[in-house]
Amino acid sequence: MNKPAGKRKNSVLDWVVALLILAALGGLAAKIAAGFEYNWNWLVPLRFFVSIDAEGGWRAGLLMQGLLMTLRLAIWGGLLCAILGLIIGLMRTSNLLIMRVTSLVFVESVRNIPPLVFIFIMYFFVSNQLLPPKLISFLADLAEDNSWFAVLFCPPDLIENFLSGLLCIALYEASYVGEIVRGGIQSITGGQWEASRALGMRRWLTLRKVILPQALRKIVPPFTNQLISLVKDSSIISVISVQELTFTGIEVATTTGRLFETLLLISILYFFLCWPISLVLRQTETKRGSQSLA
Amino acid sequence: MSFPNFTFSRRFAWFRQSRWQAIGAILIIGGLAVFLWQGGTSSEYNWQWYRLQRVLLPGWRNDVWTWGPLVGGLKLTLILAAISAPIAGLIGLIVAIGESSRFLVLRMLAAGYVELIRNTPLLVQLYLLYFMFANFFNLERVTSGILALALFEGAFAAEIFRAGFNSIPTGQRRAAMALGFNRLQSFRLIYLPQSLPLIMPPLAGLFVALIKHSSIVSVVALPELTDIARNLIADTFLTFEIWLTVAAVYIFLCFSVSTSIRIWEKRLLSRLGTQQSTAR
Repeated sequence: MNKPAGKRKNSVLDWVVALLILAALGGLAAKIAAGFEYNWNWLVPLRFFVSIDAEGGWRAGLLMQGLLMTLRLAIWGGLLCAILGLIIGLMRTSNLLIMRVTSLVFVESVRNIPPLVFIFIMYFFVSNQLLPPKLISFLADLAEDNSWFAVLFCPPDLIENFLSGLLCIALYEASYVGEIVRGGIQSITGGQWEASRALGMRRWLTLRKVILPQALRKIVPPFTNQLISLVKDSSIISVISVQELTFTGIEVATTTGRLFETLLLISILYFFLCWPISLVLRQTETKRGSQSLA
Repeated sequence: MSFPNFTFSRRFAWFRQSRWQAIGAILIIGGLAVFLWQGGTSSEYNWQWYRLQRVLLPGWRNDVWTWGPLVGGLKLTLILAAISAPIAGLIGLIVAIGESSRFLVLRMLAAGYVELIRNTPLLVQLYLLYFMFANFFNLERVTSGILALALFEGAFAAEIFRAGFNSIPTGQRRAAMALGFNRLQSFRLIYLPQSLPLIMPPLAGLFVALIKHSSIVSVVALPELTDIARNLIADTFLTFEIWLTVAAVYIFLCFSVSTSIRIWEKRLLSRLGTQQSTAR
């Protein structure tokens, strides 16, 4: 840190001024809101998040189901895009031209299409070609019989939507992860390759034992960043009617008419999904930075 | 590509080998394309590429010689990107300066803005801006679209600027102080020129991302390329033809923009007299 600010400790006065300004901003916002005479009613969207039923038990509302769907998409999508991204990254750095060209065409074409357009195209193609109806009915049966499957993946009636949304988001993010992996592998100096060659290791063995373990350190921070993007981009697949947080949010907003509260609530939920990841990421970055200085 | 090739093959032999691989790659890509094509035709899809000229090419429409509606959409996409990009850059610069400010309040505001924007989806921000603030402040649809894009990319631009300024060694600031430069002077004459090589490439990437993200504003029915495409599909049922065309247009657009920016950047850097090697 080369900033003078970083070295100065925050005085009490600093905090007082900050609080005063924040209070002024809040007051201004309240005044604007009051000026437009909008009756805030936070209970309505909250009731769609969790509600208490007649027997006094907690019940997950529509918004909670949407949040769970987003979480599932994030977890399984993250896993899938990591695997696909690793494969694409290895193909991008392969010494076979055929691998390099194929992966290059995939990555460049996916990265230059807007996510929305990509999702529309993939949705029409994926639902026809990549997802056979047999697989969907099989998974739906599985979800109906095993409750753990429904919790881990998806309720049986939403399985087709879920799978196509998951494939869309995983393929889209995989092209970015592939570039991250390629960057990580190529950041390892040629000396490492030559040394393992001198030790008589083959290319695949070198990759597994020497290159990838070193590259992983450089891959993990940008990959985590990509995970945040994945959570955020998963909101786009609401346009192909995958019942995740944004979709259910819009549904609740339009049915209750409580547009502002619901939208604010889902943005708060997204924020608390992504913010912890970015905090952890920032911590590791500063830690690594101080290590490299020392 | 910069990989050591361990086989001591002669150049000619390598060429012969790679030629077959190139043919193989083309075959694989072609096979994938055919596979996707089958996805359309398996449900007995009736390909009607000839109808595309009516939505794309110029012609007489309602007794006026005009380009097709898709071209009009492309125009709005370009306008959105062209207007919101400088605003995003300005926001990014201001926020980055705010983040390195001496005053805690400014730093808190800047950091709060960046965290808030970076950790919520653009779609949700757009809905919020369009349904909420556009109502409160009587914003037009185009204005709220531009504002959403600029505010979103501005946070990312701020991070890019901040990383660029942080890369300048402390000695430079001390040297500037020793020479009696004030803050503005040292920023303008020392920080900005030196961090420019580090800032430019990601900023160019951000501009391409801006073009791509502009498709998201179609959900509030702003008639840009994606929105026009969706409407046309609803009218004409040319689902695959129009989506593939739109994808090709976006690929062409993003690819040409990023390539031309790369060329311009190289020229700028050579004029500044900084080597590319110091940038990376």
